Amino acid sequence: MRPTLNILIVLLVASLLSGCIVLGKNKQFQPFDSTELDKLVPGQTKATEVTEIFGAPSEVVELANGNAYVYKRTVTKGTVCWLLLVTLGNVEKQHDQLVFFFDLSDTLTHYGLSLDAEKAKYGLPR
Amino acid sequence: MDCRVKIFVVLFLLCAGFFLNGCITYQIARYVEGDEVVLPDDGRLQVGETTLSEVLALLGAPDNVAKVGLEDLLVYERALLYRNRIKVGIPIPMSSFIRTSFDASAYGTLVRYDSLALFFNSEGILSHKTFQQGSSHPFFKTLFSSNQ
Repeated sequence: MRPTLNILIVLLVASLLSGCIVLGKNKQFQPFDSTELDKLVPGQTKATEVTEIFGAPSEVVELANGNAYVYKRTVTKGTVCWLLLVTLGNVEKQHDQLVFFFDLSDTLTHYGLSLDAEKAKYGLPR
Repeated sequence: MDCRVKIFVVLFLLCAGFFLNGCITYQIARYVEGDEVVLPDDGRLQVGETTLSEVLALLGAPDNVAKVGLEDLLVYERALLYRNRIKVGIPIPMSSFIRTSFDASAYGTLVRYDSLALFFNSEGILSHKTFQQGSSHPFFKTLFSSNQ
């Protein structure tokens, strides 16, 4: 009797854990290099110099006293796990973002950098 | 417990799992966009004092930038979506045999935002700030609450 029970328990556990898993990754690539920021001098660098170094921005926003150029790239990682009765899905999207602020004469006043794309992770919902 | 009873219970669970496969499914989904947003509580964001360059050095690039009247708005935001769904039905297509079929599902989706909005005047000084931590609200309680 005992071996039969053990076999049945193994079958039950195996059937409960049966399923499949899918991992996916999406990347919206923008080839800016944040190490090039050393070349910029707020109060001197012009918008044209910024676009020569970093390329065309993803977005240009009009501000009260100038403009902001936004450079953005995105990494999305997704995990889906199908078990017998339960499906678990997790998607995480993170950005690398660089924003330049220009005054009305198109001179760089400030910039901000966030590098979070590498923080996107595979995993299950928590 | 008697060994026969244990075998019966395990066999029942095994059969239930086998025959209910596809009949009952429970889905849990989570979608996150953006990094964690935290309001520094050590006085580093002072209205009337903190400058735009200090904020950019402290928090990095904002997720959104906009013009609001004569001021500039910087938004740091994280979106969290949770969805729970339960589905009960017959996975075999019955339309060839009978006209009726049974399929019922219920789901709840909740999107919560952690947002920090910072307004700057024409001199680049922080004039107003607001922080909303949506993720602090529990999923089921928030989903079924009557508050909009």
